[in-house]
Amino acid sequence: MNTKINFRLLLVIGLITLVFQSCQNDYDHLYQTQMVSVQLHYPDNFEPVANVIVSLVNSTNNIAYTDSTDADGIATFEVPFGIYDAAVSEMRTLSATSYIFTGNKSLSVTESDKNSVVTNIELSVSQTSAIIIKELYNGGCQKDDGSGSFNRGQYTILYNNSASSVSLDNFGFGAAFPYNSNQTNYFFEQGELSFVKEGWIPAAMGIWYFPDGISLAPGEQIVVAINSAVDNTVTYSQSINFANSVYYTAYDINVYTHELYYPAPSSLIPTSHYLSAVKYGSGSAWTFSVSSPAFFIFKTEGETPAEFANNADNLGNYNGSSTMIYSKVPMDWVLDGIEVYRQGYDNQKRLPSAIDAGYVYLNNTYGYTLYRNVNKEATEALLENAERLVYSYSGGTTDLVDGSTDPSGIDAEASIANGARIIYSDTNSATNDFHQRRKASLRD
Amino acid sequence: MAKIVLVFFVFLASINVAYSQYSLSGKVLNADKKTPIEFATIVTSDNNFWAITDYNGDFTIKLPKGEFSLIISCLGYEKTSSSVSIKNQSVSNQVFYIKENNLSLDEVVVTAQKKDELATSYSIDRNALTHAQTKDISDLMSQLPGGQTSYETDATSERYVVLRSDSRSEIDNPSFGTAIEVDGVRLTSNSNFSSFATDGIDGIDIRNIAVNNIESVEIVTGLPSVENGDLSAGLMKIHTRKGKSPLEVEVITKPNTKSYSATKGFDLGRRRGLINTSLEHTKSIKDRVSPYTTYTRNNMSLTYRNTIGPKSKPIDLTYGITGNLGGYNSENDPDRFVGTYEKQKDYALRSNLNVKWLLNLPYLTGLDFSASVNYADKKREEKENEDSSASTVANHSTEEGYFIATDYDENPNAETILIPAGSWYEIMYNDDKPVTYSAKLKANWVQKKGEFINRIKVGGEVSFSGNYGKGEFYDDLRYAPTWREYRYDEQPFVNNYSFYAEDKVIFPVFGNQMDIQAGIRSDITSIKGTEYGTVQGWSPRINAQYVLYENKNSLLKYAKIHAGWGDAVKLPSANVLYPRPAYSDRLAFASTSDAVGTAFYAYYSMPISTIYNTSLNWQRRRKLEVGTDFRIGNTRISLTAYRDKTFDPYRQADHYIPVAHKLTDQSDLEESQIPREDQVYDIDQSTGIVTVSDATGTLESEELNYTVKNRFKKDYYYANGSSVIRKGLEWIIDFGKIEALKTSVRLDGSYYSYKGVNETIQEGMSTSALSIDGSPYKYVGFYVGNDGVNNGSETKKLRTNVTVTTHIPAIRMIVSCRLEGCLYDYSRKLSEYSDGTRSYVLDDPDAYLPSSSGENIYDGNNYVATYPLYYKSINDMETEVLFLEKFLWAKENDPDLYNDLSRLVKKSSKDYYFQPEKYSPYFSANLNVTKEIGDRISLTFKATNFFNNTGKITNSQTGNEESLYYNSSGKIAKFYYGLSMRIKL
Repeated sequence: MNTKINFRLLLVIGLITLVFQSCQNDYDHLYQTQMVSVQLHYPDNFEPVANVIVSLVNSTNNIAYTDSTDADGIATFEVPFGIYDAAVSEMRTLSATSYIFTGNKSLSVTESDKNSVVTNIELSVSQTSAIIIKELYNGGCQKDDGSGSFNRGQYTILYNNSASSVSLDNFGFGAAFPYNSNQTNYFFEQGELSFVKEGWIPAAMGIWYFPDGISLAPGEQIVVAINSAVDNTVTYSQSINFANSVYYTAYDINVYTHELYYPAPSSLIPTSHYLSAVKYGSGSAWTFSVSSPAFFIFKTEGETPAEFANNADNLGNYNGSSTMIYSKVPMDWVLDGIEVYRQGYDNQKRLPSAIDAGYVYLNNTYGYTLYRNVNKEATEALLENAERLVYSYSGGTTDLVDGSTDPSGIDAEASIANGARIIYSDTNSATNDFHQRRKASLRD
Repeated sequence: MAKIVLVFFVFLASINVAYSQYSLSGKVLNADKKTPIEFATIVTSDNNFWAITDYNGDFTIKLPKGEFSLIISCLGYEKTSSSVSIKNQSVSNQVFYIKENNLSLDEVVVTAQKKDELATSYSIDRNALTHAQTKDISDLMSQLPGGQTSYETDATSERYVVLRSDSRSEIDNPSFGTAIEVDGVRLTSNSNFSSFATDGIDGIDIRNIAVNNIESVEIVTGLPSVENGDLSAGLMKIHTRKGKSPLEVEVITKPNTKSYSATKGFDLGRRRGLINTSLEHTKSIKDRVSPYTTYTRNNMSLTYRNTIGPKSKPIDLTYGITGNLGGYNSENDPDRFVGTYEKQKDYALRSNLNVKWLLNLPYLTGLDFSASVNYADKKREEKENEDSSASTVANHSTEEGYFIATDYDENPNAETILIPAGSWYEIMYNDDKPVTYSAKLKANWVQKKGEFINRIKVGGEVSFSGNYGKGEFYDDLRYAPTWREYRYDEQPFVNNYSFYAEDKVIFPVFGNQMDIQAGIRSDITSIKGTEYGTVQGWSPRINAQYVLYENKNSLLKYAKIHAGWGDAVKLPSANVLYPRPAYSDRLAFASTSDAVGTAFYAYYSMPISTIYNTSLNWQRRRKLEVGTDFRIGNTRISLTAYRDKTFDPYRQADHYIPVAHKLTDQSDLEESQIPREDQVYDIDQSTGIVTVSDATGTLESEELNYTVKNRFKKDYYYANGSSVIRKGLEWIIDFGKIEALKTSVRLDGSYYSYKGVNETIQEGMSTSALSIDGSPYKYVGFYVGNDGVNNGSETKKLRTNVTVTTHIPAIRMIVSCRLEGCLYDYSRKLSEYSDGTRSYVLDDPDAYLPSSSGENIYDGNNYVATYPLYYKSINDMETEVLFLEKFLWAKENDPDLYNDLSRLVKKSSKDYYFQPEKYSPYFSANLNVTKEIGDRISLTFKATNFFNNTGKITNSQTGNEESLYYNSSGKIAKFYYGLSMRIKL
């Protein structure tokens, strides 16, 4: 009997030893790390820069490793074996244009890689403006007594979408002919907008430009009341209250004098916040569509907006009219635009695809506004936004015909109130970049 | 003066010497029933001798020796002609048989007939009015040669009559120059204040004249007798029904219009006279789906007629009164916002008295006197809802100066009121009551000397036009918008006086009759308080007709030629002669708005009034006409050629005056130390300096800085434009009735050419434009004729109509089919300057400088620019700088001046702007059927454009094709129809 017992014991001990042996081997494997070097390749003659954050995320356990590049665009990591997703997003601002470089690559780090792993990421670049149109409220709201709609009290909000401060000197805005997207567009020749090949877009009737000395920090916005810069809610409870000392207003009593469009602005708005206008069309108010404008912002180069708009050689007559005059704003100067389509009508494009390749529908007179969508990846990539973003956005209007909402699901205004810095989507197409928001953000 | 005239006539009356020593007496009987007809009128064709039959049908006319053609007429009977020859004794027992007017007569006329008068005129009788289903008298323009059925089918907008013109917009005011008379009462627009917006020179709106009561209409397009004045384009005379008639009820139904009317002529018996009454109700709807935009006419009229006095000196007395109640009321329209409405009255009252006395004295044959009153109430009331989120300003000041807008509660009589933010209703009233009193007196004398018959007419007219309305006003000044009181009843009356004298001589030349009518008229207008004083114009006129050949038995039955030459002066209306102030309000101060939207504003107000133009001349149309009428077999042909030249047409011209005012804006206010909530503002009325004081009294008052704005203020004056020339040819060819087919064919047409180019200097600039340095625009351009791309236009039209009428007396039916055709429709814009070039070709639409190619603007498709002849700068109003040479210089040497001057350049909107606009020929056909059923019932059916022509015409200017269906330029009438029924009870 002693021999049998000994054999079983030996077998058990042998198995246990075997187990311990393999565990010990695995444990040795887990501790092994590998050097990974990520080289970023920039397109279009852009040079690599230092301090661009590259992240490697282990696809199994989601642990992220980050490093900043050196001056040659190389980031180095020491990571355990595994399969990783490398991602990089860099925003660079040169004068007023921002460039977003993005790249992704999947790589595996294994034992067979004897030396450090070098992987190359080809970056793609998209051009965006540092200053973008964050919101456009032009549709008006219903009057309290039901007698119709109140169309004044329109505003726009411009926003610094980049990572550095931008000066608003020589910035201006305008809108293209025809005023509404469903009106006949006399610029079409054989299906194309005739001004595209000449490199300009029309700014109808007049332009507004900012006073010198304004600068927007990253994530800072500027509210411009286009008309009726008073507390409109006193008479029209659904409208906007502009009595706020940080707001700006397009009020130039020496140029546009219509007393309903330009009542004396609220006393809280200082006169240094008044924009200036140049009028070359006719009329006592700057004509801006209440249904579907083609609105854009621009920055002049080499001359001030006033010098540009006063030069008769830059002007043209729309459809030969002596009262409907436009100025030819070079496309290079245009930073951002939004093509609004009139819900329920047959519409035509007014802005070329280089400025806005798409459109967003507005159902006007109900107080809806056009608000920019959040760039989910870029916003979530910002470290300062961790824990601050508010999701479950319900401010869209998908219950309406041709309504839309923000696909990112991020509630931008609530997040900003929480201290986050939002990066908005800017793909130069209003179809992707804008949605019809139920409430104007100034009324939140 | 009046006393002397009265004594003179009484003296003449006392000389009881019967000059017309012979008489014609007899009876007038009904041709079928052989019963006597009372109140039939027998009149010689020149209207000088007349008689009216009594209860037995008997009449007696006193006549001198000679040959006379007579017209026997009576309401309800066919007009009959006859002739009588008085040699050396009276004629008695003359019996005239006249037939009842219905479709069983052999000859029924349903088209406009050219009258056998010296001046070109056409007459349209009751049969034609009924057969054409005339809705209002502007439809009658289509009955003239070459006339085409109008495009408008409802009466919800104003309607006007224009004669010898193609459109109301021709530059010599053709509707203002067209005179309309109803039973001798002239309807005038002289005291129409509410048409101020349309520069005060327009004709009258004819919608409140009922058609059912019209017996006949006479339209004079040639040169009328000097008895008619204060016109330039033509004259339309309307005669209403007078006579005994049974009760006749008429119902007219058309898609947009329904009309009901009843007329009756009562015989008061035993020589007490006749009363004609008429009632009419018409309702015309613009949109059948929303029947709230309507025009209603409720017309009542009463006419009393009697012949009194001895048979040798009869007096024909007529007294008539017509009233209209109607208008427009949208109060119940559910599509309007609650509580808002628009009401417009169209009440009218016309009353006239006519006395015709056949005196038969050696130096006086007859005397005509008439007096009339014409009153209308066109009160308008509009209630609207308003709202605003900030305070707004209402300017009521009538003096010049700076005024700060004040709260209504603080001072209800303030010159400028501040309306707080919020919502409110406002009611606007426009109380317009134009009234005209007029009287006419005419004396005529027929005298025969050997072979010469002289008919001398002398007469005078007076009329006083004014307005009893209060003008525009608001019930609640708290919310009334910017407005100043202008009471129409405080403005002086327009007094028109005129005198005329005319002689018509008939004498034989080579055995044939020659008529020459020559006269002169003086029109005088005077208004108290006008700088123009008393204005006067002479109109000499001469018309002649010669019968070349007359023989009832040959193939050529007669051939006549006529010619006329003369002037028609149209005196200006009250709007031209008497200044009506307007006001210019400019912002002088604006504060900021507080939490409830209250802001303080001050405005600089300045009255603008018509500038007195010392060299204003009266509009004069010189007409020259030549025509011929002849008859070959059964075919009657009439041709008229004319050339009219209008001298000195009225036009409203702009004048720009430099004016300076001070503007204090929010940045000037921000310099003040006083906190916003304690600020109290005041502005000095004459200097415009704003003072802001502290309500708490702590801080001192401060005078604010300001900027001076030098700008141009637009003022206006009435001036004369350049001459307008019209030439034309009108023809009517009436082929006689083809007995076998009972059908007659008529061909009528007209060729019309118009050229109106204004070369007088017109100022132009935009008062709201800015110079490039931000200050108000500094330059005013002086353009040739008009501050637009073209300064005139020319039109040529050739129109012809073929009317085929089949009249079957046996079944009492008449069918007419009229094909209206426009064979040549040409118009072209013109830019002309006799001393140089006014417009230049551009190389491309965005250029401002003329093309170096030197092309003519009329050759080919070109963008064209028009430059002012010279310009003045606000800093130097004495120097006239020639524009084009300075503009070319500034392009190279002074870019700021170049950019500023470029705003004075007027460019054509299209490259085909000066190309001729010719339309390919287009046609439309109308069908009218009238059928009498027995003696009591008559039906008319009319279809306009019954082929519903949806063809296309090509416009040579754009090369586009336009559809004739509901054509927006109104080329042909809309497809339309109507049915009317008349019942005699």
